[in-house]
Amino acid sequence: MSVKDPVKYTVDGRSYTTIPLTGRDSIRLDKVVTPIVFSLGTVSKKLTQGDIALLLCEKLGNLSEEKFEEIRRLTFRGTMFDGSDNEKSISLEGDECYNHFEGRLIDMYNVMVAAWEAHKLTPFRMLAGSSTEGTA
Amino acid sequence: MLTSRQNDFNDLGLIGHLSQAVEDEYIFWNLVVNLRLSPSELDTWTLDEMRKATALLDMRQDYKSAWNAFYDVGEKK
Repeated sequence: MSVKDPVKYTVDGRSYTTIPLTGRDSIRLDKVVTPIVFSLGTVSKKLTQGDIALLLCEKLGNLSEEKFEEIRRLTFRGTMFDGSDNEKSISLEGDECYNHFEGRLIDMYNVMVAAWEAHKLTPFRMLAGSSTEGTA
Repeated sequence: MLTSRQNDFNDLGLIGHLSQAVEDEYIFWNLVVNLRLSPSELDTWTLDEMRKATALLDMRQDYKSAWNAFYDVGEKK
């Protein structure tokens, strides 16, 4: 499998696809996400993807709106919700993302963590082989 | 009092110091320079691909340094 192949995963029964970020965007995202994920104690505590998502709610909630939006947009660049017969497919990079996750914000954090794994950001490379691998 | 040589040295500024903008994207620009790729070309590489190429360049540099160190030692004997 090529590293640029789309990564498919499901969160709460819904399907998502992420095309790994490239170039300077990937470096920028890695730079902002790595300290956040490490500050959760992911390595020493061997947290699962769900645990990381829960802790992220608090951590990302403390960021400025501008910073959070930068992380969200970069994270979801190339990430799609794969719609079905009664739900249309959408890109999560735009503002439609908030409508999609309305009332189930924890799913957004779960998808963010899954997208970071797909982008192979530093903490997730280090955790490869542990319980964070696989789908949410 | 500074000598003219020290003045010249100070005029050079911080040697080996990268501006924040370049330092943030060091892995990217390091590959652009060393692999002679255009930035737009490298912008299609994933983080994983850039890491692998950087590891290869580092390994080559290590090998070169070790080679030079070995023969420098040899000459002094």
